[in-house]
Amino acid sequence: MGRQLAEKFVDAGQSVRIFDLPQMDFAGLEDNDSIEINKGDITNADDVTRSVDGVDAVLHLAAILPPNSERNRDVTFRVNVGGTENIIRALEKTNPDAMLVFTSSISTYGDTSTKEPPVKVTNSQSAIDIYADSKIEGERIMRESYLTNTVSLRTAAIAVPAFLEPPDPWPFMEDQRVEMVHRDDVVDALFNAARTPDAGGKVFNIGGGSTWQLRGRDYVRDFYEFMGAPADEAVYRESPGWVDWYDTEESQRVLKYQNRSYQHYADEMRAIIEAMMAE
Amino acid sequence: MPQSGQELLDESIASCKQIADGLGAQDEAWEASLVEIVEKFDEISGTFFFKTMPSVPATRGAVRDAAVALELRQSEDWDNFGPALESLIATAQNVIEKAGMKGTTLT
Repeated sequence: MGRQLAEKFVDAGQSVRIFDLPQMDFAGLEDNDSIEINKGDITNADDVTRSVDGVDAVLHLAAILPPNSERNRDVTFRVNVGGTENIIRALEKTNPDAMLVFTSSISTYGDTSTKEPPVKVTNSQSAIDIYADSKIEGERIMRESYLTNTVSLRTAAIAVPAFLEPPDPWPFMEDQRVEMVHRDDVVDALFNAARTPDAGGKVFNIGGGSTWQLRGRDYVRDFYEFMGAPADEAVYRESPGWVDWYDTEESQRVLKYQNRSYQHYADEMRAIIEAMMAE
Repeated sequence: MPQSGQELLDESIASCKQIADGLGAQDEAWEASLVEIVEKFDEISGTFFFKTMPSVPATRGAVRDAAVALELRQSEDWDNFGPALESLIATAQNVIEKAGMKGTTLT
């Protein structure tokens, strides 16, 4: 998504500074005059200060995601919380009016399966895993900072249109409410959040919208159908996971990012599989 | 009922083992290549990829090339066996690369 975002900003005539670990793949980005590559470690305050110096906006996507986030709380907090704090402190020193777009997560709501949907941004937050806990803490640090222009995007599980392994287990129960969001819609949300002054100071749910509001079994049935694999292979969670249906009315009104319906995603997946079958 | 990718992979493994058996007497490098294919196929056997439709054309190619190589080995047609083995190696490499699915559908 970082690569897609960089290209989107360049296409819009803006210059971009990419900050990532030195071992990441920067192929195709280093030759672009509008892109500056800054290699470093988000847990290193000096690296981060150098990276945010002079920028108008920071899109913060760096995090350890599930399932890796659940292996070591200290490491996850060092990256997800410590890294966020490094960005905030650096901006406080250098440019407190810069826009900071923080990629938070709908996992911060915890288990909402017994509540009436949709989940609103005013719902209480209650972590059921290390990842969610780290995102709640990141939001808290940002909320209590001196920055004047921050946005939290509580992003739903991201559906990637590609031939990839299914999660094991799926992060929800068979009959649980599930709303995901297309990867490219998340890119649009991040892009628009950085360029929309009205987004400043807000917290948004980022979900796919009504066409993505399904039950777990429906999403999984379709996935296995795309792959031509037997759906009885699917393994679900035994207790509710942190997925639900979300109130995205305000985020869509401000950020205008829900551009790919579930049907669009389904068509993409079928086309990918057809192309593989023809190879 | 058409064969699944897993069944086709199993058939490829069986053929490769048959080809490799005693092949070292003719050419040690040939046998080593086939043993490597069998080892790699055993490693990826049972993964999600072989339950999907896209695994079928890839593994069908491996079955076809292994059958050709096996026939040449049994008829001791060594002039044609070398090129057939090269073709099998390329097809096997394609199966291994495709089975190496990275990431998950959700993040």
